[in-house]
Amino acid sequence: MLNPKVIRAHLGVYWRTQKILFLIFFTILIVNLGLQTFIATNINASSQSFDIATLLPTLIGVLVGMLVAIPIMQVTSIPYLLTLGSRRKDILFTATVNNGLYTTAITAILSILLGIYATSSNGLATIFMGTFLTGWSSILPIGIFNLFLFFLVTNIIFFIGVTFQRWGVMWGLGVLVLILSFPVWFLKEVYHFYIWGNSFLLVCFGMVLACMFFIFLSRLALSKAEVRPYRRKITIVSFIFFVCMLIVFSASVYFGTIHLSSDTSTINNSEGFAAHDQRVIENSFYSEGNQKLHLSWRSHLDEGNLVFTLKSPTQEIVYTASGSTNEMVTIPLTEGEWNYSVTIDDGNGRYSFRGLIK
Amino acid sequence: MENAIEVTNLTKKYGTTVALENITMSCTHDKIYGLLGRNGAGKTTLLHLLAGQLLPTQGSLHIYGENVYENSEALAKICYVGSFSNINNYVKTFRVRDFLKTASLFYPNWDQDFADKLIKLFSLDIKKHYRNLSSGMLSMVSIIISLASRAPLTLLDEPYTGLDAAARQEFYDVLAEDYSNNPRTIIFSTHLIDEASKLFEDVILLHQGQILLQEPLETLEELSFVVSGDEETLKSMLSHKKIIKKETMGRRAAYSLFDTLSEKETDALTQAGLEVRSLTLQQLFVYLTANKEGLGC
Repeated sequence: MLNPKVIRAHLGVYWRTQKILFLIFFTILIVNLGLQTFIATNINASSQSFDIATLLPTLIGVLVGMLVAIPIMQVTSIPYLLTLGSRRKDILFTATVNNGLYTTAITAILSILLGIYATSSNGLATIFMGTFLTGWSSILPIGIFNLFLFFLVTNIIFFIGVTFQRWGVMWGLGVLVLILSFPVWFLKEVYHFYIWGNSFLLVCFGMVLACMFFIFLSRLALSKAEVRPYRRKITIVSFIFFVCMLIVFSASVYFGTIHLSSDTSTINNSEGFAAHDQRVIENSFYSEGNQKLHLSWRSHLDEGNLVFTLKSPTQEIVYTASGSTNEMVTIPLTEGEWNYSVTIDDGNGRYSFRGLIK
Repeated sequence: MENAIEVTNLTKKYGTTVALENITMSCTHDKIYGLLGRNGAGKTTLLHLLAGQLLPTQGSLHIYGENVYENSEALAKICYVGSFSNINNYVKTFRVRDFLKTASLFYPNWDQDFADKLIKLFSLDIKKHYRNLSSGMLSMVSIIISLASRAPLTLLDEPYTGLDAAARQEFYDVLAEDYSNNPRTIIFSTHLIDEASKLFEDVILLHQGQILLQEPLETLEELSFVVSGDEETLKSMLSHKKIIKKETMGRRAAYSLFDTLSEKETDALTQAGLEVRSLTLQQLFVYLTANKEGLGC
């Protein structure tokens, strides 16, 4: 059982080293908010023009950056902790606790930002992993997913950092490239999940297993970690390992790209219309049969009407959506030419649909 | 009672470089050991190994009868903060008080009153950042942590780097007083041998990764002499002794011995017109490490 004093001591060291991150984070936050406020009050002369959406990319960038920076800083604290007589397994435990705390905080901040954005936005609802961000309730599954995802990311980064610390640059880079190869290899699955989602439970369970795996790997790597009194040399073996991992990465890019474009096709369109527009947009796609269409439809109307219609090769209407709606459906496809149309009737608004045929 | 340190056939390699080779040694409780050796002899490596900060390539190492590796009880009994040379740039954002605060959480016997006393003695500004500290001030921080930790095994690796003569003397005085009040095992690595030798009870001499000798200081004093006079007389009278250094000046010479000299032998040498003096520890160290083969003379 770990001594609470040791946990306090380790977290104290981590937080003291990481305060620079908070400084950067809050500086960006304050500068961004300051600029927004300045623009809103002095240029547009209206607080109505203050749009939180413009803040999101910067803040998300900082939060994601922190997910990388926090575990790296923890790794750099290892020699100091070993100097003060820490056990290697205690270092791993407290680093994991620290990662968990930061991950929770970052997820909470991000969820709040997304929630504010979702509830304040007047435009089309954002779709993320098969979930429409339309209110606070829609944030919950994404928040849970992000929590596991961020925790996994910090554990992976921590493992890569420990590899650098233990074996040096070449082995560290090799492991980094190897780990990057996995999502690249499964680019198709990652992309599909990002847009259309899948079983949250299964994916979260998979991420928990992956977290445990990387914590185990970190434990193995840390078990022989030392206060290094010398600089590790680049050996021929480490260089060959790095080159091999580069080859693996290149192969995964090649096959991942081929895999992405194989056996699937997409349909999508996004358009805004105004001033009582009145027209029909028609298009079609061919299905080889035994396929499914995963369709996400989003529309927002200020006035008028809007109808989306999907017709089978036998001209039977299999799906319609009208007005302001957000829907995600899966439609079995028979062989033949499928037609879809968007009818704008004296409308003013915006629509977007994205379909995956596989 | 078990020894404070028990090292058996310990070897440490960095890649293909052998830093320590097949070392066997033991240290008892409550004693100050002087760890001597030339640069690169393996002193710092040995201290890192004793503190569990490095792992042995071969051999075993026990502190108070326990294996150090991942043993929180054994690790809590050891303090070796070295020279802070291994810390990263983010830890370098710490202030002195941060170092002391974190150290106080790691050592169960931390004596804050003593730490405060040392801060006052060294006139150390605890608000100063690491980057603004001189090497002497860093040494002070290291000394304060080492002594205030009250660790039963305290390892000091050239703890006075950058300290002026007055501060060094203050350190020696503090160490001697604190040791008498709180006896513990201290291993003190140093290059200022004569200055620190007053504190030593035993001396461990490392040379090229191996232990050249481990003896009480008194024994070394009884074994090290310099005999000077006529060279021919020296040759004839000391032919059976271990001579570690020969210096000739014309017909006169000075032979440094690392051997016993009985009272009878000393009298005989004096009567033959030769002068017998003791070698200082520093001289002994220089001769032994400069001329290892001399032991076999």
